[in-house]
Amino acid sequence: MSIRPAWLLVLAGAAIVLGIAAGAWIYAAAAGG
Amino acid sequence: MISTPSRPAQPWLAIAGFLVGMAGIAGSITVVFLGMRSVLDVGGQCASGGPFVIAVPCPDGTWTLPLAIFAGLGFAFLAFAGGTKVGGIYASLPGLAWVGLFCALGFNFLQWGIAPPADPSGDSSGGPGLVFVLLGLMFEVMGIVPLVTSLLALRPGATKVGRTLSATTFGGAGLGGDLFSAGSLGTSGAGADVGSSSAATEELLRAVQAFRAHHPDGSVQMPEGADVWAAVADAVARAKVNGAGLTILGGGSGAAMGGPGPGTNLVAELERLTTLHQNGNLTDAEFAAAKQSLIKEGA
Repeated sequence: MSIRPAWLLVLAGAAIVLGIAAGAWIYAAAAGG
Repeated sequence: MISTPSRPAQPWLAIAGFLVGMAGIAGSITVVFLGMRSVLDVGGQCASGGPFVIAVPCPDGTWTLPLAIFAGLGFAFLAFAGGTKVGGIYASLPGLAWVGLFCALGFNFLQWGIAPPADPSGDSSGGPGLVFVLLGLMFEVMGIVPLVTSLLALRPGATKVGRTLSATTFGGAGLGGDLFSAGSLGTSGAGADVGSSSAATEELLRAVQAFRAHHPDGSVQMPEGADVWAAVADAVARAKVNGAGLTILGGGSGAAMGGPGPGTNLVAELERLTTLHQNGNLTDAEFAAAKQSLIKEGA
């Protein structure tokens, strides 16, 4: 099975959303504490 | 006898690196974005530490800003390295970090220039409104222009100028990603390593095959130069480095390139085909068809 652009693109999108959430959480924690 | 090899294994490590890199880039840009907003909130500049009298202390959490910049660079490296291994459009996707960063920071500048959030100190004595607007516009242009040129390069019938612009801007975004970033970090341009080494030849061959796989009829992207590309792909597919020089191996329509004729090195051609198939550049069907055609030619 070769790489399927479709599912890897979805994963990349999910990674970006996850990264944004993590970044916001980390900044909030740093600013709050 | 050449048996059909099993399909290539997924480059899981590269995919993992690519995904972690993409998430890290997004997180880093988010931290920079939020950190910049909090600094803009206190007037656009602040200081902390050192033996100085500090006029404007930095908001809590500002220390994450420089950290996020360095972390973002590291994640970008990871995403580019992984994406290049995965190949195709994934070599170019991390370039979106540039767009995201400049557009996000430009948005901050524009917001503070045009309609800054209510100042808790009640100080509304103007401030650097126009400067922020100009900075914001500049950042937006820097973010959007590479995105637009890259998207234009993906469009069918894209001009050569558009493709070149895209390739030089992003080190090979979109279409250029196949042609320019194979084997590099997607930033080092086309001919950097294409010399007399067989590795470079392999890279070039892979790039051309990937291009042909995307545009099998060879005429969608460049109607004016379709024949040239077909000839180049044909020639490269038969090329093999022999010492310092380049020898054209026979077969097919290689006559245009002065090839020595069919059947010169059938085994080498079949091996090359097998490598391409193992690398995922040829599907099972394409591999089978090409093999049949080669064998027929060689017979």
